[in-house]
Amino acid sequence: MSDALVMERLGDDTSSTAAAVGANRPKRLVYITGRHKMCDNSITTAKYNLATFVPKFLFEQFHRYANIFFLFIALMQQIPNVSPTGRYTTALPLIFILLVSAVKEIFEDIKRHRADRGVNTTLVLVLNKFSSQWEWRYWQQIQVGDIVKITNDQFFPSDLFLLASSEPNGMCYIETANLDGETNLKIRHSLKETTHCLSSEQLVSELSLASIQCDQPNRHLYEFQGNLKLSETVHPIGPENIVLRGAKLRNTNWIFGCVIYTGHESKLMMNSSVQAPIKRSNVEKITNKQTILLFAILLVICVISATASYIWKKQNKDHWYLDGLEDALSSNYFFVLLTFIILYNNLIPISLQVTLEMVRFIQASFINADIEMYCPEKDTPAMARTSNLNEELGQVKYILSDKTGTLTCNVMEFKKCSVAGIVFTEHDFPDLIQRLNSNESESYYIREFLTLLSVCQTVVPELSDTELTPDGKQMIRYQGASPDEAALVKGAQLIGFEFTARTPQCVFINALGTEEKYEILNVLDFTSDRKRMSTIVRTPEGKIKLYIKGADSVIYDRLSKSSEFGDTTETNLTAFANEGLRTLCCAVVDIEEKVYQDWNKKYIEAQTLESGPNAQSLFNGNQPEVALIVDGKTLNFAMTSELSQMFMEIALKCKAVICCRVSPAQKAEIVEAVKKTTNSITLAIGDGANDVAMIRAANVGVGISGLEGLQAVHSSDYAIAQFKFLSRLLLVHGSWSLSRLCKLILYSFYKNIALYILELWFASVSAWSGQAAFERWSLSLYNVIFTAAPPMVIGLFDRQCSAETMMKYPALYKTHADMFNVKLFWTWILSGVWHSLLLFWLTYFSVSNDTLWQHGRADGGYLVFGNMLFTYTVITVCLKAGLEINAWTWVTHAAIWGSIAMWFIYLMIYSRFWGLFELVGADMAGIDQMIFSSGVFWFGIGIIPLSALLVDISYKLISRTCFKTLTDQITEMELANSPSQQSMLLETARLFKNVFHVKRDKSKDGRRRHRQEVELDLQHGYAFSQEEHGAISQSNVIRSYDTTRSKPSGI
Amino acid sequence: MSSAFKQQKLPSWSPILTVGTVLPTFFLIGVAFIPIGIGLLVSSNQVQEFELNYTACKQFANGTDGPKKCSEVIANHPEIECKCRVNFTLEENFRREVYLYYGLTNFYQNHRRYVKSRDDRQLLGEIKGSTECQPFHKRDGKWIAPCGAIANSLFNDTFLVQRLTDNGFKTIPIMETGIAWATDVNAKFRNPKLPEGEKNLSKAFEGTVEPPNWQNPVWRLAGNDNDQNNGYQNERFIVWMRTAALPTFRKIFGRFRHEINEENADYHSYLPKGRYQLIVTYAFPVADFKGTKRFIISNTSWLGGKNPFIGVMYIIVGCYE
Repeated sequence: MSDALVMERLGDDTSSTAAAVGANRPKRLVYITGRHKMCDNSITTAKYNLATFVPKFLFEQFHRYANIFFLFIALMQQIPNVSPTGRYTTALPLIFILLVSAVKEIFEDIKRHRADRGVNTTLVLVLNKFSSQWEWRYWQQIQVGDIVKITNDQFFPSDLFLLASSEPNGMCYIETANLDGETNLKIRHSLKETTHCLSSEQLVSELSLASIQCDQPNRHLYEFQGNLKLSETVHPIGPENIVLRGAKLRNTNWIFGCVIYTGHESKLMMNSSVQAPIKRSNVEKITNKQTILLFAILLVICVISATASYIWKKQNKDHWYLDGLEDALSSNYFFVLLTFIILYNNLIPISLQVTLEMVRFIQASFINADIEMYCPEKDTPAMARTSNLNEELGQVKYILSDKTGTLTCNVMEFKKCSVAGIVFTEHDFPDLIQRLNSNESESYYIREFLTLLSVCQTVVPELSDTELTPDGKQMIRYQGASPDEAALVKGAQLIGFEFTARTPQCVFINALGTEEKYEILNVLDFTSDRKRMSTIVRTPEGKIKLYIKGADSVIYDRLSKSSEFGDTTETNLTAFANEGLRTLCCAVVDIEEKVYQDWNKKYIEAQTLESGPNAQSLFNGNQPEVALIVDGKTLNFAMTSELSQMFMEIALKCKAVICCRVSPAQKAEIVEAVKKTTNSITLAIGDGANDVAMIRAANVGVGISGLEGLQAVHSSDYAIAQFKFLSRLLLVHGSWSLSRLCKLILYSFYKNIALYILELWFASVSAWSGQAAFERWSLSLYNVIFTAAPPMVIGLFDRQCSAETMMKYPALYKTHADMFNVKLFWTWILSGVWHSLLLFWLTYFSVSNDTLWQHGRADGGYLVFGNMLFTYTVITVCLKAGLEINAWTWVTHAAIWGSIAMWFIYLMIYSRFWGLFELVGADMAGIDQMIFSSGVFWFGIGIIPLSALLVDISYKLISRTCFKTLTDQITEMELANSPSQQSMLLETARLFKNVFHVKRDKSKDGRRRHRQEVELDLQHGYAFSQEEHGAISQSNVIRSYDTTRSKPSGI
Repeated sequence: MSSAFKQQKLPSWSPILTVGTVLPTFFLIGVAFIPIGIGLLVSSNQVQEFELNYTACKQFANGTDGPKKCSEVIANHPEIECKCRVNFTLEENFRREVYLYYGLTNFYQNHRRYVKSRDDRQLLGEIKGSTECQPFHKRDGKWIAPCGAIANSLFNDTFLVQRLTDNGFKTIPIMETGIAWATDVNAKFRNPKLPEGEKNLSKAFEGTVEPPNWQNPVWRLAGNDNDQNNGYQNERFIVWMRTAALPTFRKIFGRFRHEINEENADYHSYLPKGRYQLIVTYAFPVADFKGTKRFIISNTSWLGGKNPFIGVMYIIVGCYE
């Protein structure tokens, strides 16, 4: 927020130049209650509409090399005599795959459309200038120039010029968490000239001839220049008179505002680039690269085959039985090459994309359904808004978190206090009263403490219309810019010190039934420099007292030497902080009348000389083990091109970097810098609209969904209800998704290599003619039916460690993050080649006699060989999946054994097609009986897949025994559950755990005491969030209230 | 189920390959596999097989072996019927049913264009072929029956096996049926319908012409005009039409017809040891593409022909484990 204010001040200083520049800029002219032809107020965040769906979707799909490749294959298959596998064996699966993706995209976009519609059809009161009545309209119907009435806790439907409000001076409180992420309330006020328009008639009669001249729509949240032109006079409008879409009205009954920017022209929407970028995961990028690599392998194999074919033909011209079969065209080298490309094309797994999409979709639904990430208070489950980045969650190296409200739940409650060295918790508060009434020494301190809480504050009391106290009176609710203060006052109220009313000079409290009046002499505002707020009051007894509350560091410095309880309180304070509570110290001092008068004189003099605020930068760069703290201004310099590299070097050496008071653009800039410098995966998490840029820039954007509107959520990839769910999202879902998808992808490559390299071996014994060893439909159903389920179960159910283990040992996260590497890729590829080598040649030699039956018939034809080979391959490939799967559920069993069974069933059914259908399956007729009646086939099943897998089993055994990974150790330990091993392991695990939880675990760190004051505050997280140097100072706010009078109703 | 499924809490079993679990399994598999392997090996060794490469056999004319090889004779004069005579001795009685095979090497029945060059519709009883068979679909304006390169290259050597008995060499009858797969015979090969009242198969194939390489029309495949084992339904033809997977292959030629040989009761259950001679009508050229032709006599075990490979594989894997 301070950015805006600093900018504003600069604007004041150079107002003449600004005006000169402004004169040249095109201006927007808004007639209040007039009609304008401008952008309407409906917004759309959906990706597609009916017209754009097809071209956009296809463009996106054919971004993937694999799909372009398959399209090419499908087209080439249409050339007669080139395809060894028929005309539609690629086209049909490709269409199927595109359809599945399309359905998924449509499904996801419908959700976005629904959300948009929900926003666009929210109702708001709009003034009808002819009838002077308020009418309900949809947000999307609002037009520039309309006057709207917003009531408490409503969001502003568009950017408004504030005309009047229910509060004094046309003030209103707004919550801008959605815009800048700050949770403290800010104050906006109307121009004096419009403040008195408190009813619809007045608005119409006084303002229908007024106009507003302002900037064209722009994205600068904190800048606004304009004029209000009444009949004769012109009055400047500043940003403090404007409320923006995305903000919410708080603690104010109602406001009137005139619409100036609508829909996509509102500052919020201008800030969120209209189209969210399409993010692609790292794994997907690698997969794309590996697809190209596979394509290269494919080309190499094809060139080898085509060349071999050419040579074979040269050397074997005298195969008279082949004469005349090939014409000049089809024996052309290029066409032969094409034939082989078609033959081997599925070396690149066509089903991979669709399997991935389906698996990711279900993985996303696992995230959505996870009960451990469900927040019952908000009734909000986690939500994966995109499913394309699941695996990215498993590789995050840098987390960029928005501080306020993200780390805390932002619900403030008065939990504990330590008065005169005695600790009271929530449950002991009645005890507090007992002691207060006793005659013991602490009685005095308790009274002072509770008085301080109810007097030294800036909140405004309000009689609630709905809530009643147990004895039937109207309940008093507290409204204030600082939620922390409100919590303290409410705490005091519950204990028995009720703050009842405020007038410009006085504060009234009800102390245990006695009405007391405190005269407010001075209020010294809270600032981040002072880190404290003090109030000087005259007590009912006429004494002058200074009440002060603030950060422990500043309060302790100001305690008198004679003060008691200092040490015990500090111990208690540390204990509170360790529990994760925000803390605040309070102190009181009696002031003599004379001392006060002297001081007050000086104070008034000083006030007139007050200088502008000084944002202070704190830079502790020399201690890499501590947090690096940078503020927005410093960051501006640090991120300039010359320094940014150095800055990133320093920053990346730290365990944590804190950037405060940064603009949304800067946040995004930091994300980009980290991405660029480290080339690793970043995750940004935040809850406000000011985090949108960062969330979009990061590889993975996480939004906190819940109390504060959904702006961040709308642009996020994942939304969780509470920050604490992030660890589960990353450690469990991220790691699992990553390892599952990697395994799935590699396995898909493997299984296709294993099958299609068989074709290469077969080509070597079939005159390099491009004949497929298998029946064409068996071949194209390989990926769709016979080996479709194992990758799915790998993608959905495989895991090496349970969720509990993953949470317990964050070290596992790192080991999982390294899963997808080049070595592994080649291991799987070679495994596929090795399996195909063994499968082919072992089968080759097993059937070399041709007589495989007792009845002496020889040679069942090429498909007996082909289908035996295919059977062995399906079994091997399915068992290989089983070997790689770490957790077998019943679904896994069903998938693996079911896939094998599917092949047998298919074989039996397809072998009977001939005769049932006209001329279908001629080659396959009766094959099942031939194969199943052969003993060689059955003994082959027993030995050939096993031989192929023997190397894998041995490799696994050796690496499992001799080169245990951390994951292996943990898995074993979990199984063995032996405590001695556990402690050993815990040491390593804790290391990582500490890294991950560096922020939260700081208090356990022994070196705490040597830290600088700044960090002390950081740890204790003293409770005070106040708008500093706001449009109206805190003391002016409280001085302008008189809660004893009733407010206007604003009809 | 749905909840456990969605929460990813399905009960699961984690197989971990450790020395403790794998080695005993390996041992058990080894213990089981070695005897299986030995059993398979024994079965394979029980198969008796006699193989004779007659590719380069000499022309047999006028009671003597001539100087010329049949392969050269037919290369120069395809119209001459060239015969070979090869003597061989079976060292032991061939037990059980005994089969005759011919084996070819370097013959690519699995060539992509060759495999496709047939018309399954025609073989179901049509006169018309189709362009699938190009260029062997039409000749002299008539449909070729059966069309295509597979049919055109039909193996057309014939064998006559004679055993030396006290009365000189006696021909052993060979059964030409029961050698093709039932599916093929029943469902894939049909002769065109004979006109009403006709017995002569040639009438069914009226309007067709034989493939260019054939000496006789399709209705004379059995050597007569009957519709038994003739035309498309000739079993040797059917066997040939089932294209082999590998360039070295064997196909069944016939079965020794033990049961009807009344002269020598020995034929009832086995093929006796002794001296034999094989008369080959040598018509199938393989010399051009450096192929070979073999004549094979073999019986079978329950696993089929002689092939020790799978038994050896079991023993090797068993030993490894």
